[in-house]
Amino acid sequence: MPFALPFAYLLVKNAQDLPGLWSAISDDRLVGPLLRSLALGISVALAAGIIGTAAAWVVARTDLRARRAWALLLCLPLVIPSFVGAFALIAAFGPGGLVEQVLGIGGLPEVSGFGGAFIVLTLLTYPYVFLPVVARLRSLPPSLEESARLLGRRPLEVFRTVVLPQSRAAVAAGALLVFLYVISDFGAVQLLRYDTLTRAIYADRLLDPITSIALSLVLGLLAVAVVALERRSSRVGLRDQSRAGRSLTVPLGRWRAGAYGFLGLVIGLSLVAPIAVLAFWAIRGLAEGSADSGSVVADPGLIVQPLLSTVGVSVASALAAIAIVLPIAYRSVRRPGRLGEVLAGTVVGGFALPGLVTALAFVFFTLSTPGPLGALYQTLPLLVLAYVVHHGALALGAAQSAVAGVPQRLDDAARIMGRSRWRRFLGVELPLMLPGLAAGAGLVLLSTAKELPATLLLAPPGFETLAIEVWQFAELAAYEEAAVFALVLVAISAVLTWFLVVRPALRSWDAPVPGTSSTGVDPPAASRSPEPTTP
Amino acid sequence: MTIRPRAIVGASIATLASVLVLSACGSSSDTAATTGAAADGEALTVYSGREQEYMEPVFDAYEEQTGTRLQVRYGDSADLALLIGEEGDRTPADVFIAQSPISQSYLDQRDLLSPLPQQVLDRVPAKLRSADGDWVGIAGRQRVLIYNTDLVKESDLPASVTDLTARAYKDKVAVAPSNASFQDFVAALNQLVGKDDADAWLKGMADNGAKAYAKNSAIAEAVARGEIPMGLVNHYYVLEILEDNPSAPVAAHRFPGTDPGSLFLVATASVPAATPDKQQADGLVEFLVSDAGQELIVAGEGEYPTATGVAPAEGAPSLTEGDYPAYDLTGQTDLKAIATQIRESGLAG
Repeated sequence: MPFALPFAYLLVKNAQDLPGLWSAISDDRLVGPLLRSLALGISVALAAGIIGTAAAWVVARTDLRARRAWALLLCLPLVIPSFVGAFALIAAFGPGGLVEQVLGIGGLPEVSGFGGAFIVLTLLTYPYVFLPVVARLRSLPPSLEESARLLGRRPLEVFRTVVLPQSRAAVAAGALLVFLYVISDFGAVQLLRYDTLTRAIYADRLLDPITSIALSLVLGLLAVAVVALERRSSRVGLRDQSRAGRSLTVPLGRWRAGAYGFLGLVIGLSLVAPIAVLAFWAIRGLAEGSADSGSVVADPGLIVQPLLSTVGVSVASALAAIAIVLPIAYRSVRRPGRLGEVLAGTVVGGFALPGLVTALAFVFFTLSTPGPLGALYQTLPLLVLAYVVHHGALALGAAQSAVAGVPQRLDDAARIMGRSRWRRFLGVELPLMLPGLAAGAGLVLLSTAKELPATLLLAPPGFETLAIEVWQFAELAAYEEAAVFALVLVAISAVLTWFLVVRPALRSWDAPVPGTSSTGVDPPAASRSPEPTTP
Repeated sequence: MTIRPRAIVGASIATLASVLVLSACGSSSDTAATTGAAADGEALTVYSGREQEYMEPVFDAYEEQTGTRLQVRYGDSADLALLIGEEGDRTPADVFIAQSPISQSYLDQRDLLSPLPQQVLDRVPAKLRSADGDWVGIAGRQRVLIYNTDLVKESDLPASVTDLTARAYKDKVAVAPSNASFQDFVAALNQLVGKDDADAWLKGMADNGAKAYAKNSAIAEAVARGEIPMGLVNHYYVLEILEDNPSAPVAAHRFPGTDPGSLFLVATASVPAATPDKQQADGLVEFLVSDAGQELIVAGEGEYPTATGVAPAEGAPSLTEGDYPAYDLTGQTDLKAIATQIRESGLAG
């Protein structure tokens, strides 16, 4: 049960030291960071909720041209990890940043703190609201809206009185995912120096491990509660899937320019601007070179090693995740029952726990355990295990769909023909499941490549991934070097996202009856993965 | 996938079961013999609090000379010391390089370092290594005030670091509170002026709007850009800026005489007691204080050599004993206490 291990460890460790737990959670070392985490989480969830819902309505309900292309572009900020987004903000508006260097505008307001973190996280997370709401709007029968229009309601009123109540559950589910993403985030708040719980946990992990473990438990409980809530709300909200016909189209009229402006602004700020900033610094760095021969801008070949490490460890994690969750998927789909649900529940629980907390639990656990488990400390197998625990739910959703997609009667037929269990699996089921499993593995691969805190805490000495390189150079304010690595990371992420998220989404866009969103990308999106129909 | 309430109950039971197993593991770990870091054949693992940019040429030279492969984890000196403290006899680190003595003495106090061979210690004067021979200084540096020559007139520079809490310097000074050299400086301040006055100075700096940066190098660049007029750094950061851009408007102000602000510090190297490759690890430290190693180290940053008989780097300002306070580098200081003292003063890291 590796999936339950981090959380169990936190419980044990805190239970063994109740006075320590009490002193940590009763003093202002908890209260301040907790309030800041909640404030940031709630405000980003609200802002992302508004932007995501508004964008979804414009795309799904108006006579906007090239709606498919807009929908696609609006999802793409998902390819940018939060720490890369935060770095881009600093490299643009921070001291010595692009604005100061190119436009010569100095004395800019400080980008650090709440404001910067709020802007970066809102711009990167609104797709978590946009995706489910667009899917919901496209699946809604237009008859109610049409009736309201015929009764003389204006489009905005229709939106408020008819559309919003019907898509409220999708908005809420998306906003909860955003909230979870924000309270779990480490990279953006650390770079932008906003003291949330994750930052306090990281700062205290060595100086005051007792407090750090107590704060980890608080954050872990909060995250698990949010995921439980999210799953409940999405189940209630999405159950009444009705067949959608041709959807209602609101003519934009004189609001056309405004609508294009709004979508353009959202995409410009969340996607184009960060990549442009990275490209500026990367090109400038590569053009000017560096006096330091060990720098990547002097020797671009230095990208190769971190790139290979990133790809290698991500592929290993993806394969391991599929191998581990496939039996669980089988159990929960083929023989629905308590055991399957419990196993699936722990996998989801492992994903709910923030990466930083999972990693920290593994660090402390291996350090305090003798024998072969303890010997895993600072080895690649432990890093891969942590990735599998943290991202296993992404593979599980896909694996469950894949298992459910294999008709039981095929298996029955093969059994009647006397094939053994193993041969039935290899010869009949696996080939049928392969596309679905590959998609699940791909999601794990994508999330692992973008992962930061677990990589920072668990990577063996000398093992450097793209994320670690971006991080180290961003902390040194070495804009050119960080930008080169960040661009490569975003490029990998974009390619994977294209194949795993965008292409399937386009297919479902073209399909007459859009299903619920199947566009899980990041950990929080895991619970949006398709719901298998149990036979 | 849907989750029914009874699944949540079940998941809780599974978690509880793991809890029980873990508790059992936890109690048995007290009695079971712990294994040390595994011998990893040819490779040595180094934890380096000194930046990659400066250490890589030194490590490369060592690898080339000996054929030993080095795996390096870079990080903050204090973080790495605390990490080795947490790892205890399980640490993978065979050699620990820190920006300052305070990180080493944290491990020294916990008996986590093993004594270096006499021929290594003999390379370095006694005042630049620990009394029990657990660590040696590998490079000397002095604390200075870097200032922007366009923004600050020479006549307005403070006579003492303790003057920086005055109104005249409000919102003008950059510090790196989480940096090892700054932590050593606070430890020295505790010793030289007393802990109460040191506390008062830290609070005074925080109240006076001293701005916190993550690294010394970030301070030096900020001062060069004119973002902030001055900052407390190690001397070579000024040299580094001027090397990149000889016309940069920066200069180093050495507080006159034996002011605490002119503290002389050493970067340090040690061998954790848990290493299974003691001989090889000692060999790397020996290289660092050898003539060849010292020349590589001081060439990188313009620091002062610690080994006797090695010439300082070109461009390093001359330094005699009257130019820095008499602070005992080898004294025992509590890293956690200092870090807490800095944090509680309000100087945010």
